[in-house]
Amino acid sequence: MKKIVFCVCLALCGGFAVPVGAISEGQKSAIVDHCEAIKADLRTVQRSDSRTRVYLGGYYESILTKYMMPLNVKLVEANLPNVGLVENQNSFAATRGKFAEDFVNYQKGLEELVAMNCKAEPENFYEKLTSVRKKRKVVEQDVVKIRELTAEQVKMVKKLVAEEL
Amino acid sequence: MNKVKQKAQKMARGGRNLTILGVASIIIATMTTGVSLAIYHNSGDIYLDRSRPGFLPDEEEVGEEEEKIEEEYDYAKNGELTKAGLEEYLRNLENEVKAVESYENPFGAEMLSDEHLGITDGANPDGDEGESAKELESEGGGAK
Repeated sequence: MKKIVFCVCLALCGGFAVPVGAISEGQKSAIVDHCEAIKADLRTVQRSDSRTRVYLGGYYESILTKYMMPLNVKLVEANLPNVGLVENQNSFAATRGKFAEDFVNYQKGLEELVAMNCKAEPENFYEKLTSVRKKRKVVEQDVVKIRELTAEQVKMVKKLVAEEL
Repeated sequence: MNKVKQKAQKMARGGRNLTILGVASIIIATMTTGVSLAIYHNSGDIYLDRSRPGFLPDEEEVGEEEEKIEEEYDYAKNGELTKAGLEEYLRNLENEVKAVESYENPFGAEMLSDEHLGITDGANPDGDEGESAKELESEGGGAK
């Protein structure tokens, strides 16, 4: 008897369960009906992200090569090497490299998504969109990490100034 | 008679060689262009190239860029390490940080959310297509 109840429950659960990240019928029809509008929005995101990437990349490059590196060189020359600042510079350079790589991954995914035929394959389109969202999240995390490292740099230099050379 | 025949044969060979040269040049040019484009795409440089159609900077941006070049600061690697120098360094660094922070939540999740793209039950993205595009441009795009 218990076995039968268990089997019935399992069958019912299987019938009603919706996998995580699955697409509902309403969403599917929204994708099919407004495929071109969604793609136009995605292209706008592509353009604005490209612009943001170029500007942020420029600022990151400037912070690393015009601020972090020269200060560490100067401190070493003055026989006052600062381990914290050197470590911060290394982490910053590594995260900046990761950011560039992750952005390319994300953009490749987004490009593939825009090229997809959302009218013919809405499920695959949504699945791809979910994967692109994850890639975008990774880029966002890199940006947050870089901000933290920059804030740390400011904090350490302030401490250096306060310590009186 | 033989000489005329030989001359005609030579001319025919010359024409054939010219054709081979032309075809070979086209094949080599196509191959090298293909390889260059593959490298350009696979390296990810394409995503940073803002000279592509549709990715060109607006006039405002060009103006901002020129201003930025004029204001550039460089912390000298050589010379004495002074408190005044470090204070100037800090001021300029804080300006850079401010510029970076003016990009509020870049690459945030909202831009690709179901609501933003209109992938919701009973959604009508057609109605606000233009607005949505403008919104996206201003939110993710530029510094505030």
